[in-house]
Amino acid sequence: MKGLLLKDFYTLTKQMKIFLFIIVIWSLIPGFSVSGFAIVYAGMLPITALAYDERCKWDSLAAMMPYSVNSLVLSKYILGYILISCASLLSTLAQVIMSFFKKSPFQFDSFISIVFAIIIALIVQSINLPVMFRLGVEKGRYVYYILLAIFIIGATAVSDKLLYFLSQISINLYLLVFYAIIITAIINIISIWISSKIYKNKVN
Amino acid sequence: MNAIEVKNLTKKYSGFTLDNISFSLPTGSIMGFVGENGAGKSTTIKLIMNAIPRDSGEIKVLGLDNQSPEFTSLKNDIGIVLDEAYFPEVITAANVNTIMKHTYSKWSESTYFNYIKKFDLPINKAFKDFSRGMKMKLAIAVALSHDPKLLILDEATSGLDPMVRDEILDIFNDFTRDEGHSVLLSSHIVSDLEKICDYITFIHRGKIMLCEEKDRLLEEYAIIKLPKSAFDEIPQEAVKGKKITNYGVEALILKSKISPSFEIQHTTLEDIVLFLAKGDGR
Amino acid sequence: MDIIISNSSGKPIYEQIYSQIKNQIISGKLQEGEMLPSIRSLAKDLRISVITTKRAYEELEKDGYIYTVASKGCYVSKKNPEIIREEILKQIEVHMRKICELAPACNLSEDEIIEIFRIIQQED
Repeated sequence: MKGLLLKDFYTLTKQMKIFLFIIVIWSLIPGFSVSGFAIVYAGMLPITALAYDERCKWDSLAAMMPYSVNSLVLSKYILGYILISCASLLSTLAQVIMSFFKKSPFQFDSFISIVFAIIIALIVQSINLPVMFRLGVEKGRYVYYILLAIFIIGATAVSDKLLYFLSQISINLYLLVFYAIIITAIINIISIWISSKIYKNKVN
Repeated sequence: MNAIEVKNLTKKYSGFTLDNISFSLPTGSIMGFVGENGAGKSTTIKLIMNAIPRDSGEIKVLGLDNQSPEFTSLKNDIGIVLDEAYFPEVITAANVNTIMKHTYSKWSESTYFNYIKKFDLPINKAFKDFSRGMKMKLAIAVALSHDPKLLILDEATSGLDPMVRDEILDIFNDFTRDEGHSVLLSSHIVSDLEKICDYITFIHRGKIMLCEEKDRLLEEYAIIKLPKSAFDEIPQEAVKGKKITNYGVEALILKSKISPSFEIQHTTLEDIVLFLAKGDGR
Repeated sequence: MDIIISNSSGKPIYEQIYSQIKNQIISGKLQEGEMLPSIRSLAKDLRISVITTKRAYEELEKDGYIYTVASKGCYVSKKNPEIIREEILKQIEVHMRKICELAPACNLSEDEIIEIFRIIQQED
């Protein structure tokens, strides 16, 4: 498994440099919806890794190595989890530093918005990966763009309003986050299960 | 014991069927797997590695059923070189070392870097800038560096210049100095196989035409050249393939089935394969 | 030990190995008790098939020229005078047959052949 992840990190080196640059730039712009975008972008990097795999027919080679189908599939999810975690940490760090310079305390709201960004990123990834495994990156990319468009529209339009809405109704925010995390976890488990099935059926 | 045992293996695609093939590779030997492009060699290799599902049949590798759950870890003992499955473009030979160190349980860095040096491969150059020969050499270095018991090579020598090919054949030859080591070497370059193989399996349009010890084949078969009238006197069951021209007949025959008084010529593996592939024998 | 394999001779490879090792044993180039290279290393060094090499060794053993010590290797047998005598007789017979074939071509009589034989003997 570690070997597979290392392979993906090597292939994504260039993307990660751009990615870091994006995060730094976006973090400088105030407003959480944008830094949230960086986190979701991280969740989409496994697709780029998959595209590289397809281009060099890595699958046929990987099938000859001591890896089970499950670990081949799982490695892409774990790659996403690692990248999302890194992006979240960097975003948080950037916002803390920004608030320090602005001499305004780090808002709890910003933290919650990062948590929601992580949840969205995880859900986007868990929808994206089975689609890509099924259709291949070439065709799956259309779905990717649609998802991306929906996300951008949704994220910019809804996130502030959603938070506002949530602050109006009397639901406990902690409880909401808790439920969201549980649902995300379930979606991910189902997604991994579906991806494994798809991957097993795809080889012929 | 057999390193590979394939029994009644069938796999259907639209337009191509691997048709009920059987063969086995005895441990300690090198088997040449001959056949034209599209004959079913790569499909067979993928089936042996359980990389694709089969329709029916049985396959045992290093004594283990390849559909058993333990087969995944058994792949540690199998070195593989594929015809056209490469590493990602941006990866370097040094990256490959790190990746494989975490992939194969018995990966040896020193063995790997020895081969890299021997093959004169750059350590920090991206894979996309490698020539076909360099790519193959890198794949071969990987296959040999995790202490495999079985090497499976799909067209590993095609696209390489004769000197390099010879060098690589020597490595495979040396690999089998250990009697627990076996090699399955697929190629359409018959002369390469004739150089080092103990056994030859010839696959043609999804069917096994021949699976025999190489030297016996060369002893059993011969080429005969006769005028057409004389050719008709030869028992037809001796003729395994023929080429009729305006000036006579050239045929592949079984030595044992004809009278020793005929003047026969020593045959090569290439002749045998070509005559049998033509299929207008018998 | 010299073994030259010819791929174009048409003579089976196992026979080439068999006869070359046998000749070296008979001529004394390979001494009694001397260890032969292992089947596998000989095959790999000559770049020929292991099975073919094994076949040659088996023939040599069957004919009493070598013997195998399990898990150690193959050794040159004690020269069996009878086997050697028989082998030499065989060779003589081959030459004799040749003489019988050639002699009628120039009307050579039996006595004349014996005469030639005597002359050759005196030369030595």
